[in-house]
Amino acid sequence: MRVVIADDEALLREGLSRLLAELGVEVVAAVGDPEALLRRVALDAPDVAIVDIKMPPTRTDEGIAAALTIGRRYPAVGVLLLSHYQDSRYAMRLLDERPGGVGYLLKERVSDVRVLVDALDRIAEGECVLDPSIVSRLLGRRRRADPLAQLTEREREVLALMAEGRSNQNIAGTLRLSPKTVERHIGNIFAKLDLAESDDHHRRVLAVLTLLRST
Amino acid sequence: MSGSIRAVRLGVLAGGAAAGALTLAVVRRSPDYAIAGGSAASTALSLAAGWSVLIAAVIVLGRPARRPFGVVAAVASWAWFAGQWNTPGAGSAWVFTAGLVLATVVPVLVADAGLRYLRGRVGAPEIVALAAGGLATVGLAVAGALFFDPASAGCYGCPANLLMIADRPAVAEQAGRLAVHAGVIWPVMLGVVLAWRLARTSPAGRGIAGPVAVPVLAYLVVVELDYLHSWSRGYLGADDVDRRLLAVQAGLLIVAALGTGWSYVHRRRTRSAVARMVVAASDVSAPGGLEKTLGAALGDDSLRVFYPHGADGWVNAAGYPVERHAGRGTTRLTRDGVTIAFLTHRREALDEDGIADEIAGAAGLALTNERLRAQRRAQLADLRASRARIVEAADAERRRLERDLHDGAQQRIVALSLALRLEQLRLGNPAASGDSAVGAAGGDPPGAGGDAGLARRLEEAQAEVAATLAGLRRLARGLYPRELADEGLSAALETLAESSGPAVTLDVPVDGRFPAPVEAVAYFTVANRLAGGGVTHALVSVRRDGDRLQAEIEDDGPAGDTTAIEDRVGALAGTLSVEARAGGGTRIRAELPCGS
Repeated sequence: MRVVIADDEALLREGLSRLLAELGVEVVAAVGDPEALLRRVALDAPDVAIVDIKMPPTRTDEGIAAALTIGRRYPAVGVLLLSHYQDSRYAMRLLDERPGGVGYLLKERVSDVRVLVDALDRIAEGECVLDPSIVSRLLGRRRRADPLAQLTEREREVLALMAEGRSNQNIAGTLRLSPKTVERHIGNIFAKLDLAESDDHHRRVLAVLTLLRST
Repeated sequence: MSGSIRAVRLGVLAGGAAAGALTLAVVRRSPDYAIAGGSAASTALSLAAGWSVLIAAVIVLGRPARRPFGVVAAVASWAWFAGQWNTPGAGSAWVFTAGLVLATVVPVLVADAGLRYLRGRVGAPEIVALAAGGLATVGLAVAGALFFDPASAGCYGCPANLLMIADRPAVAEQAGRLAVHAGVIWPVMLGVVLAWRLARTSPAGRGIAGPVAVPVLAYLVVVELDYLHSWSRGYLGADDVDRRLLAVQAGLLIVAALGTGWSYVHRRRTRSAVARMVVAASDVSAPGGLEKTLGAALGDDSLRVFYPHGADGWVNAAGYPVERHAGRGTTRLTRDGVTIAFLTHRREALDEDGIADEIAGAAGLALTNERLRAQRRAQLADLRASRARIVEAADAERRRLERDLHDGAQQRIVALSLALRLEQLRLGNPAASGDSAVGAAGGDPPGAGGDAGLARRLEEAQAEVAATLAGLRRLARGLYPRELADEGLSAALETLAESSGPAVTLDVPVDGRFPAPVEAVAYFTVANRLAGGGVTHALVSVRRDGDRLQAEIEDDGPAGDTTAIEDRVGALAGTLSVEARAGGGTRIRAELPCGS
């Protein structure tokens, strides 16, 4: 696994680089602004770019713009967006335009090593990963026409874990179910959300998008 | 200033009185030579004319706006008296010579005074006509006097002519003839200029100046007639026609002098008209009602009433600040030394001296009343603006704090969390390295060289840091949510509904942005409600209604303390209603003007 880190806070850049190195992830570059990020992505062709959402010049949402640019120019490079904001709207903007190979995690989540490494793996494989706190908020929304209303409690739990970018095996472990049961739940979710059979990864992404978009 | 004016007026009066007395003495000493005829009646009429003009001049000198008229009229009255001194009765060579020089100049001075009473600009036409008249009268009189010996002209009783340099009767006679011929021309010039100026004056100005200017015009006509009568004769004589014309001139000067009193009558009439209308008009209690009433009373529908506010500002009757109009007449109304109002109006509509005092006197109570109301409204508006500024400043500060928290404390604590995790990894803590088998992680065997106590303490510290970060995030959100600043009210409310404890149903179909203070007030009104105790379900609806934003929250909680919301809504001049719903719960509705 090779990654590029873009964060304008040197302290975080350093901390994250050392942590990832400790976890055996190769940090090929750590930069502080979007231009340097795009340059390093072009030069080093990493598996995933870890991008802070707040970067110069305005320090608001430059990270999203950079993630979308990477998605257009280098579709093979995944992007993990880090944000201080527990903000479903930012996540939705990201996944709306690039429904695969992206993730959105709260910044402090990266110290949860299991989630970080899992997310990097999933993103590198073209899936999308959402911060658990955002997923739970999305599921907690009250809506009028809610496509998620038809899901059972268990299916919601499974969908939530899918949105977090967990593998079937991981979901089974977390919910203490057999892998076969998890697969059945996922099949039911796809059917209830009207997702035709196709590439499994793609359907996972679509299911997560349904979760994001349901308003 | 007023003291020196009083001295000038006394001096004018004393000089005129002396000149008048001297004239009376001259006429009585040699009545046969008196140009007015020498009879008691003609002498009385002539003296009355001089005195009328003199007294009018002295009175008008007391009114700053018409002082130039007063000065010229005073000189004219002296000249009127002095013009009768060129007879044997003069007694003194000085008096006689002055009489010679000033004998014919009076019509020029009277015309000048008439023009000044109109108060127009003294432009080229006036200057040309006045200069022509001056040259033809004083100039030719002096020229003639240089070669005029009264004795050789047959006046053996006359005092000496002090100006004479040579006795050339033919030259003197020629100068006199030339003066008579010129005298056919310049009265016409002055009359035309005066009539033209009178026609150009505004109706209001004409109403006041007419009683002076029209008799002066008539007087100039009579002067012209006398010169025409004298054309073939070559000098201004004293035959019956001359004497009658002179009597008519004297009468017209008396009428003109009386005409200066008309402006006093006009002021009285304005005052009573204003007073009547102010008393009669019932709508003066409405803002701006007084303006219409005064405008109608003064015949100027463009009249506006403004009131002083603050150091140097004006407000209208409704209390709104206004710009001063350049290029319009402005009159300040004062009462007991206090400025109670400013009137702007057509130029000249209120030019008359003292008319402002009459209006202030007649409408003073109503004006003072309206001024106090206007000033109170303006103060309220100021207060409201100040409240809004305070709330805006507080919101700006909250936004700044929110950013500072994200950029400062949060970043550092995240960095701390990473450092802690790194130490845990190096200790080989299994919780830190993750229990999944994915990726390159999970290298070290569990517990390798691990100090169990340290690992536990690190884990506790990690949990503490995570809780701190969550608390910081809540704090930052409560200060000023990012969505409110970046994306607007509906985005902020959506996020609020997602994250709030109570179940919230949103009905927020508004598109677009509102002014930031309005969005902030609407947002915090909702946030305050949802954060308050006792609410488990809430329906939030936001509507745009014209230029107002309506935010309504129906919930199942008690009304509680709504002071904070009231203050915020009130600061934007909005209205807040709080009512209890049937079966428990509260409905809060805020209406906010969007100022667009």
